[in-house]
Amino acid sequence: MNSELIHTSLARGLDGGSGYTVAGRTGGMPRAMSDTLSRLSGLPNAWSDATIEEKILCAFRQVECAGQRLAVLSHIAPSGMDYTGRTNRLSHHRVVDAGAMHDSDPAALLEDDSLWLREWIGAARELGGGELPARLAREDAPLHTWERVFGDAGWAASVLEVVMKSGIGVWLVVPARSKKLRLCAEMMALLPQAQRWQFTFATRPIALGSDASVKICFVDEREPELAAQNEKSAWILRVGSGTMAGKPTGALAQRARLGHVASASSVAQHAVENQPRVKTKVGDDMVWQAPVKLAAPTERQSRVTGAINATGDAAEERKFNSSDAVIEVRRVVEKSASSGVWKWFIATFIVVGVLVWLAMRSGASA
Amino acid sequence: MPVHCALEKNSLFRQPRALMERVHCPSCRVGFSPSEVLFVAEDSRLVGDPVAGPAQQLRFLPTRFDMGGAALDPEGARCTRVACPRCRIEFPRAMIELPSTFISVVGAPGCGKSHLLAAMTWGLRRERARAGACMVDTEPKLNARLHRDENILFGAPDSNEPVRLAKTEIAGDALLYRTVRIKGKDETLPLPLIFTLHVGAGANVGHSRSTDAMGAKVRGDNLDDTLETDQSTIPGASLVVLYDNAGEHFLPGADESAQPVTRHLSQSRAILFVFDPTQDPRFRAATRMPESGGVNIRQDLVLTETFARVRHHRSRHAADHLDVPLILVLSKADAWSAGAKIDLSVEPYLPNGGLDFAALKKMDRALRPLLESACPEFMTAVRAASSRVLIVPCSALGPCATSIVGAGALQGAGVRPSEICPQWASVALLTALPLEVDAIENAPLWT
Repeated sequence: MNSELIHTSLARGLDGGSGYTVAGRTGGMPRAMSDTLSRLSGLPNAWSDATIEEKILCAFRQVECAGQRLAVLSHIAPSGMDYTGRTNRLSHHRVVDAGAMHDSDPAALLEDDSLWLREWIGAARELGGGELPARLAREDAPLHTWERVFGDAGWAASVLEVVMKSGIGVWLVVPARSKKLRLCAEMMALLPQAQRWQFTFATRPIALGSDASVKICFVDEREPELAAQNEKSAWILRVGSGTMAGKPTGALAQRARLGHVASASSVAQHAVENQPRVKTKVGDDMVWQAPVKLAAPTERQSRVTGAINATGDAAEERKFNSSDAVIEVRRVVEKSASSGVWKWFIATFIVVGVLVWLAMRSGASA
Repeated sequence: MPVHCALEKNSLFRQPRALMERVHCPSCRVGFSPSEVLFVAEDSRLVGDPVAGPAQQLRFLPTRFDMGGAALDPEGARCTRVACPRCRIEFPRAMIELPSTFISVVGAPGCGKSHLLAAMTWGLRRERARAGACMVDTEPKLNARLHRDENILFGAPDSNEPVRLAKTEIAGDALLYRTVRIKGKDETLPLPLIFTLHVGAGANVGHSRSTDAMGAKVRGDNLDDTLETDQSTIPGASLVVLYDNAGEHFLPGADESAQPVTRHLSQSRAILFVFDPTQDPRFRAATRMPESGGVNIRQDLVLTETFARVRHHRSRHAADHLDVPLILVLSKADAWSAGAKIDLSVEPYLPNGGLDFAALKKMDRALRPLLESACPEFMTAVRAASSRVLIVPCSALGPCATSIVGAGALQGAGVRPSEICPQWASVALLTALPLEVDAIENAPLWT
């Protein structure tokens, strides 16, 4: 079952305290999990004229809790005023179990406003919990938001490659008023579904290096925390400069520009087939491999694809496979023949023959 | 010029700087000697530290120094910033050269700690002559959070536009907390506010330094050398380390090992407990405050929890009597001072500068019976907590700063900066400063 926790400012929380406290959580949630989620509930200070939407922090994090790895979706938003008349925020966390991961991806779940509370009404109470609906981003859509924000959707592929190679996580600086969650969801669509649950992210700055840190933070260029950092740091990415100065190239960039369906060529098909399969169980140690290194389809692969497409018959496919095996055996024999093994074999035979002849001759003379 | 005079003037042959024997990290409170202090690398290629985080510059124990005594990082860059050897959080270099006084500001959620801190530090920055002490940022970068609050309240560009301070976060604010990885475990530590304090003669440090410099110029001495020497011998100079926690951190059960943000209580020279009378229904009734859906919070429990932590973290026996000075700051006095029949229009300063102990004592005596009658359980907790208690009222915003509601519900309430006029805000901090604590001790003010 998926668990959830609401953390906001109340006169009396579920655990008795006042101020920022647990307002609601799934019944039976362990105390350690509740404490861990409470620690993730802070909302960084925004710049002075930020709108409420710009202040919202959406994050997908994987955190350690009592020896377990939890996949946590967080939606932290300003929430009017609290009981003391001061500004308030409401943090809504959902711990996603492995079952829900098959049908959803984190960014698509966070984009669904109906799943996230923005205001808490009434006293603190326990929640019922329940299953998450399936929400999945389309894989075959061109990345229009990236194109609109950065001028070329191919940048999503470049950023994705840098993020996956980075060991510490990165901050991607995005122009003011960009839809950061949409950018993230579109970039995530470039990944196979199972890998999306390895791709941790946040739409506001989160300090790197801790358990709760993420692979990428989409940071508005007006963020005060950005100003406090060294702009030349390698982990601060700006599209079009530094490590991302070159124009994006490659099949994935092409896919980002055109979308999956629009480029239904053999190359795109090959890109999808070549993407590594990963285990979906949370906590498994999955290693990401860049799916952008695509070799051109070989002649044989083209023949295979052509033959299958032409007949569409499984028996024909099996027949083709057996003849292909014969060809392979013949190729091995030819390869062995062309190598120096036979020469050594003949030389050894001659030497042994000479030795036997000499032995027989000496025996006869004796 | 004789050779020995030339040698004395050369920076290489100066007397070594006097350093503290032992320093306590203001974030993780570990004690260490100055020789163990780590330096922060300056070379842009040396990014990433196993404890401080991958985005931080490398911390290292220097083995090479330049002619001026500054450490050189592995790439040869000159380094001056220092960090704690355990948590590797940066702290001002002055901490290894001057004595430090830790002061904790404690209180329930919503009692006005952040407003009070901003108002009291702003007051001490401005009222050097009147207060008899001056406070400056030891390293401005490290006090960024306080500057933000001061700018909101006292430096707003449009003084008629309502402003307000945001509620202090319990985690996630990079200006308040820093998460480090110690022995493979994440630990969230508080970032302190650190000031250099000049009391008494040091209060006129600018004047005396400029006078001395003029004299040196007349004598034809090297002006730079004179200034540097003067700076190191300023009488009464020390550091004041303040902490602004969220009130939630002082609630019972909130002291966690993964987030030890209130452990500074173990080092505190004095504790400023901000008591909000508007959160106590009987105090509101006693001072005839309007009942407009006020919040009721058991502040005696917060005080008891605070001093239980002081006792635990100082490893004191349960029967031991704690003598940590407790300054009971009665906040939001603009709302209740009329009902309590006290006048805050005259601040307790002497004509020549410094605190007027008689006025303080008079105010303490005026407020004590009111608290005893309205909040007896709180005063019982106070008596059990410490034997040295002083009651000081204050208003961080002043009587004219009426709360106004913004355009929409989400805009929240605020006050106009032009109407902010703090009363007695700096007094509470002055009474907690080291020299004042001793002076008040001698003046039998503590009760």
